[in-house]
Amino acid sequence: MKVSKYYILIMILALTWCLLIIAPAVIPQLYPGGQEASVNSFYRIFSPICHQLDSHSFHLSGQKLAVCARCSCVYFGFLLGGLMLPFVAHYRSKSDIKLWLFASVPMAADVMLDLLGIHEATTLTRILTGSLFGLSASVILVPIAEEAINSFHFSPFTFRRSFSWIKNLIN
Amino acid sequence: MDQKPDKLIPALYGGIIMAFVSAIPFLNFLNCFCCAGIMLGGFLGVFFYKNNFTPGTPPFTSGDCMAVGALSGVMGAVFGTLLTFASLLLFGNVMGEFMTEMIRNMELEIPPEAWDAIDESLSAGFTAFSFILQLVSNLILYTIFGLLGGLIGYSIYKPKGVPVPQAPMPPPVQ
Repeated sequence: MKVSKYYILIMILALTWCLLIIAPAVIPQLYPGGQEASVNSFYRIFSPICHQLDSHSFHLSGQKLAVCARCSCVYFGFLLGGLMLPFVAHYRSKSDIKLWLFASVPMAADVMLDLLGIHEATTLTRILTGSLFGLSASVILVPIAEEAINSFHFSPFTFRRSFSWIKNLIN
Repeated sequence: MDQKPDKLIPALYGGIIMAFVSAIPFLNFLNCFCCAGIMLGGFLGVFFYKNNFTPGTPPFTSGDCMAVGALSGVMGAVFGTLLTFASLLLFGNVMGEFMTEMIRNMELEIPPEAWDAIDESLSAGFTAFSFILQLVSNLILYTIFGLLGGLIGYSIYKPKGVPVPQAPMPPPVQ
């Protein structure tokens, strides 16, 4: 099982993102009594991308994560799916559109039916639909992202002075 | 063979759409679904970009779409921050008051200190520091999610007949 350096870079970024999500719940455990400002800054950073409702979020030792349960499952599902990809290297989606529909319709239905009062979204439905979306997104996006980074001839692990990749980005 | 079309104008369109979705009250609720509004801007940037291709131009690549999405994110962050603060100045914190009312109606057990913090954030005014902080935060988030939207756009609009991307394999160890 061989992986490219671009795959490793993508997984490091995904892992970092997931660690940032759990940071506000972990920091008070590591530094009890006094890190309220840094915890609040994490919530503020993620506030534009999630409603962060307490009742819809996972909690670790009484402290909620930076995003809601559904969003957490999307991101962790993406990370998990990405980590599994080298083991299913020969699998590629034959139709990305169908896979996107398969991944997004349950989540959209869960949210819309809950908003309309027809069905009550529970933590379980949020976990299932969010994880499904994250796993499917990783199957589609990780190989494409690898190819995209490779096309810039960008070497993430060495410092390059020429910055020719910036010119490639715009042209 | 013709050169590939310019990326800046499609990215500008995508960024403007992103900015309006993020700044207009109630429409920005879309961003609660894992930044769907922001990714939509990146996705539409790719849509506008691919429409500029002619049969004589080489096909667009995933790198092109990622660049368009990221550029859309940068422009969306700048315009979106400006629009958000303009909306706050003109209409007040409409979305914040709506969310507070919704939380009150849900009758959740929220401690008084939390209500004080919510009321304080609602009454917080516009400052240059908050504007700069919001701009920097948006530049990071919008670029990341705009980039993802661009990749999603490539997965939908990739030219037919393009082989499914395989990860570049490392050279064999000698």
